[in-house]
Amino acid sequence: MEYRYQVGDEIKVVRIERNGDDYQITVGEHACTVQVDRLSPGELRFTRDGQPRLAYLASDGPRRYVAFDATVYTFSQAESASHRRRAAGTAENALAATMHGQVVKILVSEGDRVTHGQPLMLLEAMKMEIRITAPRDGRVARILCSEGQIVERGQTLIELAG
Amino acid sequence: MIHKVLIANRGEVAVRIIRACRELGLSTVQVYSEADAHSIPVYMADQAVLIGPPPPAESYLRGESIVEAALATGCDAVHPGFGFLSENADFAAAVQAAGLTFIGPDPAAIRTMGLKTEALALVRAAGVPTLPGYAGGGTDDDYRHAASQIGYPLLVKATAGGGGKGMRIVRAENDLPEAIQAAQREAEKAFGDSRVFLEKYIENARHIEFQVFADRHGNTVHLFERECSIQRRHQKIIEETPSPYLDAELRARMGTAAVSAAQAVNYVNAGTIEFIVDMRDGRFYFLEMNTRLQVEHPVTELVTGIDLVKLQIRVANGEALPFRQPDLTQRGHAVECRVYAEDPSNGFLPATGRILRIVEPHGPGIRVDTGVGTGDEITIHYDPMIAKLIVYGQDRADALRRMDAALGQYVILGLTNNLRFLRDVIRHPDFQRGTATTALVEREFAAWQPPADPVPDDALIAAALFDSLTTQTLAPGSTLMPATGDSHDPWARADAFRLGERR
Repeated sequence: MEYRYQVGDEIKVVRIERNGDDYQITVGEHACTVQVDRLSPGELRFTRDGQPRLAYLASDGPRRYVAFDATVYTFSQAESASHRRRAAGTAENALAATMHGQVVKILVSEGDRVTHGQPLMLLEAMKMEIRITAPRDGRVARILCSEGQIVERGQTLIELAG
Repeated sequence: MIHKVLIANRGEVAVRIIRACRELGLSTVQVYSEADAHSIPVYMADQAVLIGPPPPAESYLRGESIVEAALATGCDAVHPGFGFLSENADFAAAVQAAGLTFIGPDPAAIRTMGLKTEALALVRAAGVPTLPGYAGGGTDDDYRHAASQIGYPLLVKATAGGGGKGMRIVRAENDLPEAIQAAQREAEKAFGDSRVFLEKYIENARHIEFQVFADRHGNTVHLFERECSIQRRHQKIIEETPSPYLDAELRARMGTAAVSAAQAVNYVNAGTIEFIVDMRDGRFYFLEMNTRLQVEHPVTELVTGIDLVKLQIRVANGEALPFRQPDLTQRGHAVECRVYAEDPSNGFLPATGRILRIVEPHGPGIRVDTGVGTGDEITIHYDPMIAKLIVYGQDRADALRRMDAALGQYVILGLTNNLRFLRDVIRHPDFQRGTATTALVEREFAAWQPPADPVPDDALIAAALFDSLTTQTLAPGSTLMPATGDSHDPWARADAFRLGERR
């Protein structure tokens, strides 16, 4: 059985072979022997090369969360190359909502010239006001939301050009 | 006599109040919004009543629905918790008008202290020091003129406000008009009152507050201080008591001032007097009074040995305080960290989403006050606090080591949170020395990033084993983890537990 995980820019390949009560596991070139001692919802106790390890785990779609001691590691089941290209394709010129919230006020119009740091719109979430400002000088190419609209985190709000 | 209490709040404070009621042998009724239908307090209380949709304005802020629910379920008292209607004088009055006991101060005291400018004038008259300021209400020119008299930097604050909302620091005259407008908008949203006032801003200050308590028999005492200097966006994240800054003499003077401020409004029940202490000259100034239980009340409970929520209920019942000022002492040291769903490396932006897995720390002197668990969701509708982690130690050094260790035991998966950030603040030399001021987070942690630890092989092995064991041994469609909340079959899980176990 082979599992591929995207860790930063790298793809890590984990191979698991069952061998009686043991698992022979390789991570990249590195091989080890593992026993699964206890598995319960969100928790795994295992012994790797004689060393007992306790991990807390969770998943959300392809996302994997693993905690050892005080550190949480996050990575993903590796995606196909085409999916990655699409994700990277969103333009630098697009300003996205940093969190789920409501557009309170749009301070510019399409075609306006804006300068670095100029407030473009106000979002509100959890009674906090969040200002979306121009990351550079440019022109407002498109406004993709309207006042009062609820927007998702990551949703493009404004596109800049020039 | 109080027999049945309606809890007009949600989350961790609702859980806290239900526990206190249970220990006093009182029945409880929990009101909830549609967003909280499956929240912990709803299941803990003896009864639960749906009061409306998720937005607070349509549920937790609807005083008439809450009073109606209290009457319909035969309650004789209402505990407002903190936030929401806890400092709403009209709500307190409506509760009393319905023949119910409001577990808190009288409406008049809430009203007076709620208007910050009125409160400042009143306590000043009672001999309590206040900062230079301008009560507001005039034209733009009046504000500008007053601001130049006060001097920059200054704060624009909401007259009806609190909790850092509707607050702006202004460092130069050019920024004043925009700051006033932004503060007015935020104040209107948060408090339904857009009035703002100006107050001198002390850059290197300590934020120290005093817990006060008064009964209806003429007794007012203070239960010492809480040091709340560690803040981000003017909201507290770490609190402790005793304050490492106060000596016995200053503590006594501030305590006396706190009692005077409470007496100035004939205060009854639990309240908090907030002071700012100027580090340059050691002078202290009254900022405001919070006419309710505070989020950080547990640290006071740990060092005084007094359960503040149970005492609130007893005093509301007409009982006298069971102690006098000389009976009260501080024993040991307590620290609280507020665990938030937020991103400390990105302006502390609140995060929303489901908690895929939560493992709370346990051990001697460790207390976790929370209203959420594994599978619960942090939504945009409410405050993004996940829990309060409170530790007790025999002295400050002991308590800080315990906090560090407890934060290290705390696991929250699936939701961006500030656990690692809190640990780094606790470890900061200024905090360790006890010299941190309200400027610490902004000054030392502006560029904070979580450590980019390389993912160890063990983490990949654990994930692969988990993926392998949970997909190979289970029936298709079932999963071990409450990943998106759509797998709730407990039998599938119990089965997998056995299958995955070593033979």
